[in-house]
Amino acid sequence: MTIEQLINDCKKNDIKAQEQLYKQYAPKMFSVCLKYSRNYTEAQDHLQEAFLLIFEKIHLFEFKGSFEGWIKRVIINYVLQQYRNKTFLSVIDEDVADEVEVEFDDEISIEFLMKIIQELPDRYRLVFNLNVFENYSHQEIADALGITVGTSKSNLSRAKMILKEKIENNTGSAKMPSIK
Amino acid sequence: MSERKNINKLFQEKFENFEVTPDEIVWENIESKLKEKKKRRVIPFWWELSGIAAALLIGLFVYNNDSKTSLNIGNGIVNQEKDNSEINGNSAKKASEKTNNTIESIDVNTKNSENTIDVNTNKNNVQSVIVSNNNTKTNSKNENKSVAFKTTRNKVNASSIVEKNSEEKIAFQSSKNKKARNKKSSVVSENNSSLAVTSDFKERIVLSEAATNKESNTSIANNNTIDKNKSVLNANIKTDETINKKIDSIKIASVEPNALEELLKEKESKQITEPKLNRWQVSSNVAPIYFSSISNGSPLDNSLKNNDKSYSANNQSYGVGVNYALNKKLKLRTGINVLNVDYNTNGIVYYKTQSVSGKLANLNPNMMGNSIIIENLSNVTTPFNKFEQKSEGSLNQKLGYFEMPLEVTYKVLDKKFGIDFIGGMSTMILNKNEIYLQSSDLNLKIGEANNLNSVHFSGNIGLGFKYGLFKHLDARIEPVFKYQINTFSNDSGNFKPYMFGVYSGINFTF
Repeated sequence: MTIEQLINDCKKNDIKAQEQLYKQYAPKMFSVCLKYSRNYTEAQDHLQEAFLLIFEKIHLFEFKGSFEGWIKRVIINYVLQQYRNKTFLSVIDEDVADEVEVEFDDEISIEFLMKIIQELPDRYRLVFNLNVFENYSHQEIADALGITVGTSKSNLSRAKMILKEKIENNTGSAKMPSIK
Repeated sequence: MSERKNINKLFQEKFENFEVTPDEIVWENIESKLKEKKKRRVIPFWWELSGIAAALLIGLFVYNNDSKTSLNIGNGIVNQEKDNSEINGNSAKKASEKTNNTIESIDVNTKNSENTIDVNTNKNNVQSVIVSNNNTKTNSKNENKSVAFKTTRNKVNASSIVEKNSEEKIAFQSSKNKKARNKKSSVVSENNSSLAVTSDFKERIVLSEAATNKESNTSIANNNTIDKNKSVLNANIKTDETINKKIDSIKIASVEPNALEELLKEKESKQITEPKLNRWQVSSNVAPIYFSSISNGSPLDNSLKNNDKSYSANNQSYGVGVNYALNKKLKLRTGINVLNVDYNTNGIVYYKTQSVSGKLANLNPNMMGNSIIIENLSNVTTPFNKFEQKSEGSLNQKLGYFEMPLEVTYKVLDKKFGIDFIGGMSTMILNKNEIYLQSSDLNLKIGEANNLNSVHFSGNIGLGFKYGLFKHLDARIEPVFKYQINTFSNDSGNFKPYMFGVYSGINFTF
């Protein structure tokens, strides 16, 4: 079955098609959720609710551009929405270099990296993810999160400094892998 | 070995092609929610159908009740007729005793069959003992009885006793009638007076005219209840003991018609007035609902009982109804309404946490709700800070019901413009139970209440105003107050909800 057929079946609320679609994309999307969330459980919650949203909105997908890209956007937007509340406290803008070099052990585990991302304060984490993995510009990030470009920049560099420090000291608050 | 690299590159490379399979439970949750959504779409549809079916059933039931009463009258007639025949024929006491028994038995069918048998035995006795005149009288009267149930006495007279058995019931009407006429001609003169009166009986039971005459006499008496029949029977038994037949019977026949006529007339007049009353109405309803509580509790958690509650203005209810007029003033009505209400509990703070403690007492959290702590704003002493991410918000509890009212309306003014008093109750069936966490930029379902009864009731009281648009069409507006009873299974937190709705709609009468 082609992905187009699968999507069309999902549009008809065919539960089998929905399951197949989920199974196909869940692993990739779960890794996205893990990066954007504070922890494993929260990531699963986000994945669950975001997929419900995807099935609800799938009739809006018009086969323009890649479906995976569409799903990912829905998921990221959903997660952002969960953190986009007034708890964001504005941080005083600081001047930080955009380029951050880091020294690390070759053996550094992806679990450790995931852990330290998740430990970032919410907005640092979101800005970092959007910038590093989604290649969003600061303007785009500012729009997505409802913050200023300056805040976005400063959040990003703060995030990188925290990560750098943790990598170099190898001091995630827990060394146990957080992926499971 | 250690390496030096741009931190962006490090993460990008490491996370390239990184995939993690989530727990099975995630899909299971999604699946159950997807199915739940499908179900929800289906339920209202079924409910509507079942509402219509219920209305039809009620209709049938009422209609059947009407026809049953007419049947009873028929039975009564037979019994009384028997009595007469007994009197005429001076039939044996045994027979009268038997009829007593049959009258006591409630089932219509059994009565019929027993009656016919009894009568037969009467006749037998009569034939063997009595003079020809007597025979004719008893026969004709017997026939009247038998006609109601289509048994033939005439045959009995004419021929053998055996023939009288129930087989003849249907086949021999015409022959009976003829015979009856013959016999009657000798006896019936008094009965003629009552001919006109009996006409409505003819419609129900096909009789010969002569037969009807006699029947009419008896039938008038029969309108009364079985009890009366019994008393008549007893009287008859006594008369049986007095040996003289003709005289007695004639007297009875001539005296009865006056009193009986009156009764019959009464009945006729009833039948005339009844059709004028259009008993059935169907109606549509739509109402804005004001949902509130007469006390300031919180069904969510005791700690929120003093929080400000705001009740949204866009609660509404809509549905259809059936009304049945019991008489000119009183109407019984039912129907089915869909009802959605919600309210906000303000002044709370929430924040995300891993810990399991601090949940609201009556919240069944979903996966999202599990990681959120909700507290009364005034309880929070720690200052907000960016680590705990505390933020202000409100809780929105949404409730949806199928409402099935059962109400009586009493007309106090019935002109083109009419006023009714409305009283009754509703059965509420829960079909929506959701709790949302809301803030200026968040509307997140966090679970459902665990203390809602799936079925509860309300006491309803209100006023109805109607205005006649056309002959069969009324516009209507009804402010109704509905006090909720037993909404919560336990721990209602002193929350005593009520609803006030201004129901408007159209009634179609038929």
